[in-house]
Amino acid sequence: MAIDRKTVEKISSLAKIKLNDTEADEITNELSNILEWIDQLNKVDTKNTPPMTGVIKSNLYQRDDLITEDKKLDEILINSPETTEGFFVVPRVVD
Amino acid sequence: MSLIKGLTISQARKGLLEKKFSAKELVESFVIEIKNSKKLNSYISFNFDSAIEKAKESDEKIAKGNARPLEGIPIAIKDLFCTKGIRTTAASNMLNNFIPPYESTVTQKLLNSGSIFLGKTNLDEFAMGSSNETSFFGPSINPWKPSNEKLDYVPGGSSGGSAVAVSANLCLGAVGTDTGGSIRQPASFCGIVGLKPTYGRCSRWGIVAFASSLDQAGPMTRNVEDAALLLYNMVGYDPKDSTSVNKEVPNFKDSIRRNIKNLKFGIPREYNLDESSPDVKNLWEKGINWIKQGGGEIVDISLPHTKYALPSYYIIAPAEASSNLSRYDGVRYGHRVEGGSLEELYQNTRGDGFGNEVKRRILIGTYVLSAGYYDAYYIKAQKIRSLIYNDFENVFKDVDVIFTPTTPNSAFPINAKIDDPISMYMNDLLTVPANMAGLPAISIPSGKDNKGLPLGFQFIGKPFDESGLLNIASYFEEVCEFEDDKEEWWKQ
Repeated sequence: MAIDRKTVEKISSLAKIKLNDTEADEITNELSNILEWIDQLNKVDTKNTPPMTGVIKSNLYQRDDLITEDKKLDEILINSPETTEGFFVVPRVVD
Repeated sequence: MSLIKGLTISQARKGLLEKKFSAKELVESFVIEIKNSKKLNSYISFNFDSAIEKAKESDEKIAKGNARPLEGIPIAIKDLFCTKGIRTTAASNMLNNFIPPYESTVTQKLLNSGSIFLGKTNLDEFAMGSSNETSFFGPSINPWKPSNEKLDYVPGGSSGGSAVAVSANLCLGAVGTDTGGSIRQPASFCGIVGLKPTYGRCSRWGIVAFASSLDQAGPMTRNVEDAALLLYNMVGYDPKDSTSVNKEVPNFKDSIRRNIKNLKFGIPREYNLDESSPDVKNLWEKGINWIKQGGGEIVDISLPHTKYALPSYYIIAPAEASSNLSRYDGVRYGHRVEGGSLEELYQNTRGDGFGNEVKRRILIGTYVLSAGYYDAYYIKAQKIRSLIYNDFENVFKDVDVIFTPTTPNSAFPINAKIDDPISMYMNDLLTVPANMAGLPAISIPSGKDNKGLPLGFQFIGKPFDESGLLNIASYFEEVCEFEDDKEEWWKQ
């Protein structure tokens, strides 16, 4: 199915990816081509077929909620673009 | 150079234990080769100083008779595995400066086995691509190209840098990951062996996630025996990965018997594509004759939903990717572009930090998961995944293994397909179905096309039958007699 520029703007906002004008146009075009190619799936009858999320059939197990590693604050914060007093810093979110 | 050219892991181990050379000498030889081969752009980050220190430790262990299974063996790691203290980029601007505070399970196992990491290899950004051209650090270059050819050729992807490093003697073996063909397709393009294990064999913990229900790590090596050795030291149950399977690990090397007598080989008619080159088809025919010569049995089979594997993959993989990649927000780690509000910071960071193909896939994924389209696309694709899985389950009642070409064509020049996403996706037509069904599959170099470029045979096995695959691959390795006659045009 072809999609329009407005839809691309909506999904890029949902995905939190800023696109400039040229990019938005290009992506509208590319996504339309890809989705049209994907539409061949509509030929397959799946009425009585269950969806498959993954190939592993075993159930998820539970484990005890224990701390296995700690005292790594510095190693973790070192990768953050901005920190202060052990916290990540972001623009003000509350007025 | 004479020390390492064409050297295999098992030969190197013998040389080390017999003290013909030291681990330090071995590592130093590779360091020189890598420095002389920068044109190939196969590594993103080097780990030379630490590698030489580790080699000294290995030499001490060998001297004391305490050598571990891969003691002193220099290998390369796809830059998608988190390596503690070593920059891990996923070939993205988003993670350009990321230094993991922890080690992935697979690389930890390889460290425990005594192997030495020479560096982190190039790949398509976040493993999304089939040519290595989406890397933020520029493409890795295939050491193979037609003679007198001016253009550079792609190594395939996404594990392109790992394939190049093995093919050009820049490591003894490498580790890759395979979501839709990312180990097997570059292995085929670069004339090496690549194995994608059964989903659940290798822990995914610490691998930068792309599509979690499809991703698997695996070995890329110069021959089949080395693939068995490396694989053995990568697999095993890991409670940190909820899809890791608790199953006994056979000694894969012992399964190599180079004997296919009485085995049943399924030849799926749907893999005979119009898109495949005549050379690929002819070589496949030749392979069928080799099966007969070796005493194997040919069974014509049908996997009717094969043609729907690729389009449904391009719903499922982007859907999972759009969710997995939501963590890159410019707050806790990675690239950040400031904005007036938190929302703007997210949008600017992700707009600037991701490359085109990654954006494309995140947006497709977001679309197929969004309200109103979820059932029509995402659930539909998951239902088709069931049909693909059932196809394989049915044929494996009658055959031991499925035999196909790895790719429809050999490697192509840089820039030939990068502007046409769908034509790029077609590279994975023959490899994606095994990921959708979680099955193990191996690609081995089987011959060359009329341009002198390598082609691969693919064998797809029953769940957890890596041993069977390695045995079969070892027989073909012997009869194919693939000759590595490429010129070393890239040397400086």
